[in-house]
Amino acid sequence: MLTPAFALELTRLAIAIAVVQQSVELLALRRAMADDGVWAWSVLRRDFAGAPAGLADAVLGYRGTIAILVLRLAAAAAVPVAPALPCLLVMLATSLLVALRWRGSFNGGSDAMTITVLLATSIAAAFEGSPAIQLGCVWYIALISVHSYLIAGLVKLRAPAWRTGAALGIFVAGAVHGPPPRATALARPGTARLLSWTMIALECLFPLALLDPRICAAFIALALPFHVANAYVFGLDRFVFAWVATYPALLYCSAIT
Amino acid sequence: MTPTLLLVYAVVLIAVVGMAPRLVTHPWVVRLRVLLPSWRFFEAPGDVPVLSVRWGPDADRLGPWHAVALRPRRHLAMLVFNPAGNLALAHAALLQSLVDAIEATGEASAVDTAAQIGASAPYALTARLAREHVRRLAEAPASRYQFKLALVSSLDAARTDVLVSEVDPC
Repeated sequence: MLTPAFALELTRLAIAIAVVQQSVELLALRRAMADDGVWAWSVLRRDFAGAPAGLADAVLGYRGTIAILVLRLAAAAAVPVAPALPCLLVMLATSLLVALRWRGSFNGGSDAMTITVLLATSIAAAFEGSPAIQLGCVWYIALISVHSYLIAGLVKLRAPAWRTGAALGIFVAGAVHGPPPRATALARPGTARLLSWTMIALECLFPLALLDPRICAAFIALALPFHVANAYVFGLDRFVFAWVATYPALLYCSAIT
Repeated sequence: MTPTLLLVYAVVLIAVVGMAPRLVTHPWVVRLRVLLPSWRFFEAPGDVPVLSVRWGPDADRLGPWHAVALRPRRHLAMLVFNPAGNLALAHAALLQSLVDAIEATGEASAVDTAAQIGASAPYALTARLAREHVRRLAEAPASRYQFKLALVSSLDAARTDVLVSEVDPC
């Protein structure tokens, strides 16, 4: 039986894996953040004209950024063995700093979901003795997860190009890695429309996952390959890990409604 | 109780999604936008910013424009580790932020726009991105380069130049 405490423990482990992945990827990109790279701090600091220069330079300059990423990686790796609260607070603070360093976000929605989950799990860890706060944090994660799917589905439902299936082919053709093999199948209007409506239905109906654990498990079973497909087609690997971290909370909430 | 709440929530959300999103440009809202996600993924196909570069030994002898392809190779390992893909996505987001900055100037001429926003971070970062591609693409070391940004319609491929940079040293 899933309890709020166990759901939060699973969430902590899952988000730690997401943070390890994100940190390792960014460390692999350190050349881009170096003084002669595209994302040099000497350029980015123009965005921080009002901030104390010495502090911003020390924290978000190249060496500071690498130190932040190493600290973030260490905190995430320590989650299974170290006290939860310090690890979560370090992951939260360093994730926010990394987002600042990349002009607000490095990877859009996955950064936002990671920080949402870290914020809720940090609050839950800080108030470990309060069952009401623990429960509130679990619900917050579950509702944000459901909300993210529903918004994504509704905006597609509103767009005529999604309803005809044309949008899917256009987005796939413009994917950052280029169109994948066999993407030509999307040129067939029937196939594109069927896939588009499947996505729209999955996203718009996702709130039903909260009604029953079996329905929730079914939605997760559909959402997981959907995220993996997005990782392959659009290069959105970080979204897989960030959204999976919300599933324990979803499962818990579906069981108590 | 829960189905009723879900229904009310869905109705409110449908009404909110129906409203046109507002582009908030306050610098601190932009910097902290990770705390204010919109979740409007793949909303609708529109104009895509495309970066092009050219280079040469001096400002009067620049070669033809080359579109910069931000397309790293696709492979199975990228399901769990995709730094190159994510960097390319960050570069695409950078180009979009430069488009937003350009639209905020309201300047009609692509050359005048460059003069207006030349000191901004998105412009300077894009200039570095362009220069990096020039260094990669040029067969012989180039001493001068120029970049331009165009919006290409994903529906009909119509192209509009929105910014042409100054000619800068490599």
